[in-house]
Amino acid sequence: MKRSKSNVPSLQLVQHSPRHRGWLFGAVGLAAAALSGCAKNAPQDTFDPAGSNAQKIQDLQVPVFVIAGVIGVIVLAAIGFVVIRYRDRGQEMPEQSHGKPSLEIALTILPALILAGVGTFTVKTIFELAKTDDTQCIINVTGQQWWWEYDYPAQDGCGGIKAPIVTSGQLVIPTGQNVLLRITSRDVIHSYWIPRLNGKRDAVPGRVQTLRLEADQPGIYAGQCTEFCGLSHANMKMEAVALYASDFETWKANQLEGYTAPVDGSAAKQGEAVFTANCSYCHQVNDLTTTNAAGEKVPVLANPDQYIVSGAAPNLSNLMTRNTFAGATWDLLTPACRDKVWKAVPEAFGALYLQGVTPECLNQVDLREWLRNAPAKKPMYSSDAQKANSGGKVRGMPNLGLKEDQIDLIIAYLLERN
Amino acid sequence: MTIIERPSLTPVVAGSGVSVGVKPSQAYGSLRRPVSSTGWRSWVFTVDHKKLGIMYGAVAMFFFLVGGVEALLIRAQLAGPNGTVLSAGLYNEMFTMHATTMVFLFVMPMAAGFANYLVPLQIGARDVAFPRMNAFGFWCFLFGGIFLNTSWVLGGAADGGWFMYQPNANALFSPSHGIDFWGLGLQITGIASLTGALNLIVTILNMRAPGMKLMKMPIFTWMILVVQFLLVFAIPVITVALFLLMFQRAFGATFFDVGAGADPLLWQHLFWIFGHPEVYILVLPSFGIVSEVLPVFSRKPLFGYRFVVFSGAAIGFTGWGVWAHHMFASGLGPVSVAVFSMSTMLIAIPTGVKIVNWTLTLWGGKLWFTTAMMFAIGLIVEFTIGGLSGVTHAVAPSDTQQTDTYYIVAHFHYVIFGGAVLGIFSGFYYWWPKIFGKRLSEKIGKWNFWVTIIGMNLTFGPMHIIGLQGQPRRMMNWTEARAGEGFFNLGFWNRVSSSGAFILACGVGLFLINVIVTTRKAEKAPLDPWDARSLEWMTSSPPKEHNFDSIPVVHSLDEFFHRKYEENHETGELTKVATAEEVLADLEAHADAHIHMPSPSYWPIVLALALPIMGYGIIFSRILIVVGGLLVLLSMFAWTLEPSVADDTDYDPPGDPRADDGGPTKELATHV
Amino acid sequence: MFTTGSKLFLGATSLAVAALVVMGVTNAGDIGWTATVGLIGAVVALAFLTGINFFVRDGNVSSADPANVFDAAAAQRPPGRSIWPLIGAVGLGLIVVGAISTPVVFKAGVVVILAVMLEWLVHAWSEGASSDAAYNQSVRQRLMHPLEFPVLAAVGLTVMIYSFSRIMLFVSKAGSPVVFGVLAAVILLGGVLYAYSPGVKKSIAAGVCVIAGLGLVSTGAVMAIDGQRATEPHEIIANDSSICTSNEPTEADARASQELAAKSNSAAIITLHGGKLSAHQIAVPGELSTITLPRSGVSNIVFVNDDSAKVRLTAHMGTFDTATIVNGKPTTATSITCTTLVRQGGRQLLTLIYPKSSRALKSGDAYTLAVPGVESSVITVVVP
Repeated sequence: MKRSKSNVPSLQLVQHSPRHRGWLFGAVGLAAAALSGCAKNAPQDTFDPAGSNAQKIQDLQVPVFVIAGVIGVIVLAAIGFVVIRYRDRGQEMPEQSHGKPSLEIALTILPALILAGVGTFTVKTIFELAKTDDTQCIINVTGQQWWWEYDYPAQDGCGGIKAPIVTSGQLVIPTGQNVLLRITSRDVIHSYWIPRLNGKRDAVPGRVQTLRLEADQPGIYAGQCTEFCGLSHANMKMEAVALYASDFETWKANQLEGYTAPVDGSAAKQGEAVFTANCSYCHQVNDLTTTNAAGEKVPVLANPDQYIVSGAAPNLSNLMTRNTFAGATWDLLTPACRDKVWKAVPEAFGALYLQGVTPECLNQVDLREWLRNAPAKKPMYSSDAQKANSGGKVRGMPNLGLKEDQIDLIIAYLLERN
Repeated sequence: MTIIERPSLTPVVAGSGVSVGVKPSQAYGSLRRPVSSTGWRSWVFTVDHKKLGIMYGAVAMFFFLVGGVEALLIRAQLAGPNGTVLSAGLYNEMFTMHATTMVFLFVMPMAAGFANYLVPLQIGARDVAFPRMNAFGFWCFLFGGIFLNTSWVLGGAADGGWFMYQPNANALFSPSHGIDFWGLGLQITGIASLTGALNLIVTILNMRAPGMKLMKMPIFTWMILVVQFLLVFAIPVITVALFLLMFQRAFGATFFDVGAGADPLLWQHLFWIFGHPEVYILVLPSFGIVSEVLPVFSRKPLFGYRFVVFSGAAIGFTGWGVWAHHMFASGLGPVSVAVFSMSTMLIAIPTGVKIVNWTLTLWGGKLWFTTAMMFAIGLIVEFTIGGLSGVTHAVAPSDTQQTDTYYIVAHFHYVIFGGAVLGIFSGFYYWWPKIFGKRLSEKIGKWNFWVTIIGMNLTFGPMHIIGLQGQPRRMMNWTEARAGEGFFNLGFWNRVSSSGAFILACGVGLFLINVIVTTRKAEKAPLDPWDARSLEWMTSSPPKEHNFDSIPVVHSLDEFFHRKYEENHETGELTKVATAEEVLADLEAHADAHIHMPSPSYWPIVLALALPIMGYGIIFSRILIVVGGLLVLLSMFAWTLEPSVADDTDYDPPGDPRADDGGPTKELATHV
Repeated sequence: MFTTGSKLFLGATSLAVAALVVMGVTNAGDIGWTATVGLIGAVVALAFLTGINFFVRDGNVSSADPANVFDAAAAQRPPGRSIWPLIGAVGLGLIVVGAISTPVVFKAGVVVILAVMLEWLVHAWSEGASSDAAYNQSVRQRLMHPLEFPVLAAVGLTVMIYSFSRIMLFVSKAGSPVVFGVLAAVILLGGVLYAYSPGVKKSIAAGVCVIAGLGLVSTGAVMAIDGQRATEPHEIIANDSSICTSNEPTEADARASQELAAKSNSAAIITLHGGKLSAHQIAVPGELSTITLPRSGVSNIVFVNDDSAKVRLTAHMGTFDTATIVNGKPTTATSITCTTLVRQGGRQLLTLIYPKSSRALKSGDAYTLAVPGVESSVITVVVP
């Protein structure tokens, strides 16, 4: 994705918020030093807003950084001056003065006034960002060790959703709409953060917290769990994908499409059996069926609550529509294909993203390593000692001991989950 | 062989008519009450505030090195993408223990060491109010720290972060015993803080030299007083929280169990109600140190002494109303967030007052750039940077972008390292001649200063950039995919930061070299090497066991300075009227006839030793709890039954050799 | 200064410490705790013996004191009275009795014997510490008081508390507050009387205390033997469909209110108003009849009753196959839970976990939140 970037970021900021022009003219140099928001393509840059909510924070923090910078320079200059001017050159012993109360009081009131000004705008922004009644789309977000689940309840918002959609790894939202996330957790505290769209909000078990997200342009916005949540905290990432409303409709329709059984005799058909035997205990594939001993067709229902501490595993019905797996830590796309999606121009992004993961683009290396031995790739408290307290339940995916040919078949099956 | 009679007991006249007695060393064997003033016993069983102060400092320094090694391992792991120096589990243990060690086992006890050594000297007292409790505090700190660190070899250290958020710190999510060790270890060191705080408060309020009104008290003592009050109120909060944690982990309680209707945010509130005042507990002693150092080397009094005192008290007070700014992302709701955002801005004001006063103290002075002075000025500069970055996250919406990123790590390292630690180093260089009688090498000191300053800015400066680029804290690795490109890419600045950490380590190493070099040097420091201002310099270096031959009568702030210089009130001109040696000679000439000091005791160390035994018991075997409990009972009773001053019979030969007639004539106000 | 015996013990202690260190280093991080505790125990025990040996100088203090040479046995005062032989005999008796009756008595006997041995040892040694009886006694006290006081205090307190608890468990539930009140009043009265009559002899006061103590202990013993009153189990709400499907008050309602003072954040607030249930969820606009709750996560549901009748909120948690197979078919089980009865204007909390998705429900079944007796209005719960 291409973003308009100037070499001096503070100038770009000026364009965004003309009322701060006055500040910045005096302090462009300082701002450039204070603001580090000019990394190229840094996906988690906190000074590079891509939506209205992040922009509100930006409008507040830029002047604060500038004021802090100016005060810092004044204080440091004063110290520098004193250090040079009053060094011991053999002058007389100075007067034993104990201070000037008037000066003290003045220097106490001055910062108080500055802070009162900053405080006023701070409070205003706090309440603006806490609003929930003007949002057009509700998505429930649930964190657990170490991935995020997104469920879109049936609603009139989001352009209308008839039946619940459950997905994970990538949060898909329509552009230009204020989406409201209702965030909670299944186990420990996590924190949801897409820096370019808004600040962070903790996912606390037993509580429902809200966060507004809005993206102006289609594209992928990276995020990272920011509340320490155990062994694989670093491997709990997220990506928010913004699509034009029309593309978003296509995405929704695809998510709600029924199950397409693999063609009889194909590798994928064999893969279905391997999947049912090995993966379906925890991973739901919607409407997948199997034949029981009595010859009846019965639905295959995942029971992650019996095997996993957090009681949930990602729904894999539409795995190949998302570009990542295992807590958005690894890409399902090969680096070349990934680059194409991430760097697509806004107009072309939607079509490219909706292609999903094609067999040519599948990142076989990471996915195979994962299926071979998941805890070796992503630390997940997998030793017996570490499982002692959880009644044998695992955290994240255990090592299933799959053979290479089983992995081939599962991959063939999963490639059709799009 | 001479047989010496015990004078206080009438010998029994035996059948032969020969009066016989026995030496205490024979009667009690090695269990005789310790009274020696030399040898290892004089340190282990001491109740002398100076010896305890030195031991606090030495042990804290050791833990500083331990915490430093942990920090280096963390930075080595993060130097490049996908670091493999540490495993995920070990990395989590490392950052948890780094923070815990630096906060609870280095900065706090180091400040306690300075306070222990200097407060009685600064207020003209002969010891603290409760000397044995003082010793007990030190041993609690030492044994608590050792207990905490034995977790490394007993199944793994704590891995929940020093903030130990629930429910991640539950037994379910952290199966090793690390957090049990952590909770119990901090309880034990907490006892040290609490007893120390009560002791110093009573000492400062009751044992000041005649004439020393509160507003004539040295500023370091003032800041220590504020800190002790913070401790008295903060430690009980963390104690309660740790108790809940222990019951939750060891006995299956459900204080934070969501499924049982509890709310894990309770832990966060408890932790931060302690945790925020803790920040001021860490930094105010160093503020006190530089407020002593700057006037001395500027040759003028502290600018606005009253303002500095009151701003310190104001920081201590408002410090209680800002805890939730650690929780802006926790979902407290906009009203709470707004209130705490404002109160956090409010606390910036008294902090700013301090910086202004220090700068104005320098203004118009006659600055002498010793190493102590350089560290003090370094503190003003670095703390200012840390304070200003603090203001940027008092702005709550901005904080939701910054919290839990490296920007916060940068901020509090500028505050804690730039504030507390630089102040501690300043204190080392300033008071070393007082404590050890020798001046640390100024030449190595200058190197020490510059390498430390460069190292710290290279380590923590880039963290501002890393954080604003969106790298969260506590991640065991970072990836190229999210590092970005160009000047501000994460890869480059992470490398800079890691290199800086090793430079910083060299800076600390230079200090250790300086200590060794100085110790080997024969040259003694002059009595008053810095032309100092406060009472602790008005005695020999190192001070005698009883501190002052006669307790000075105080007439003004900076009493020592005013005994050396006379000020012409009209012209403000200063004339030197006496040298330090003359002032001291005057005091010695009027030495008190009988000085009776509290005696050493076994029981503080035995009582402190029982606590980790109970700790191991809670973790491994209930029988050990009983063993430890019995030892606690035993030593508490023994302590209670033991007089504060040893019987004459404990001496060998009997009678206090320091008192002319063997009888107590002058005692401290209180002995426990 | 080191006597032969103490050298031996010192060596043994060092050996144990060395063994501990060697074991710690060789089995880093993975020491069986029994072995560790055993070795630590050995270190402590040996160190203690070392200390004792130091202290009594191999029980040979007089040889280190040439003056004692002059003190022939005949010149010495005869040893004073001692209670330890008597207590030792009692301990032996306990051991014998315990060996043929209950192990507890046997163990008590062992403890008594050990205590006697220690006391006797120190007592005997102290009598030879010097030729001065008063001094010898002070030496003994200085050593033993810190041990004796806490142990005796702890034992005494335990006996008192245990006796008192037996009394409280014996008397009826209604009687126990009375007994408690009367006893407390008597103690207070005694205290007041004593305070107002300073002339009372110490011995009288001590006698009263001893009699009271003995009375307490003996009553306690009798009542402990007689056994305690019966305690009846209470009904609980969880998973009891007979309670949850009607608004009849039960014991559970009377005993365990789930009344809520305040809850800043909940998954849903369910209100009964005018015979109609409505739901409100944070940030979801409007009054809802269908709510979405997370699967496997904890949901806090607040129930508010605006109507005048006392009612409860019942959560139907679905019907699922169990692991029990009967005739080749899994049996099913229905899971249900509810609040206690809520008065008008009251608020109660229901903490729920839905482990399975709505998809897993049997066809025709649904997760619901309902009020028994208000059948027309039901909140449907969707678990994605």
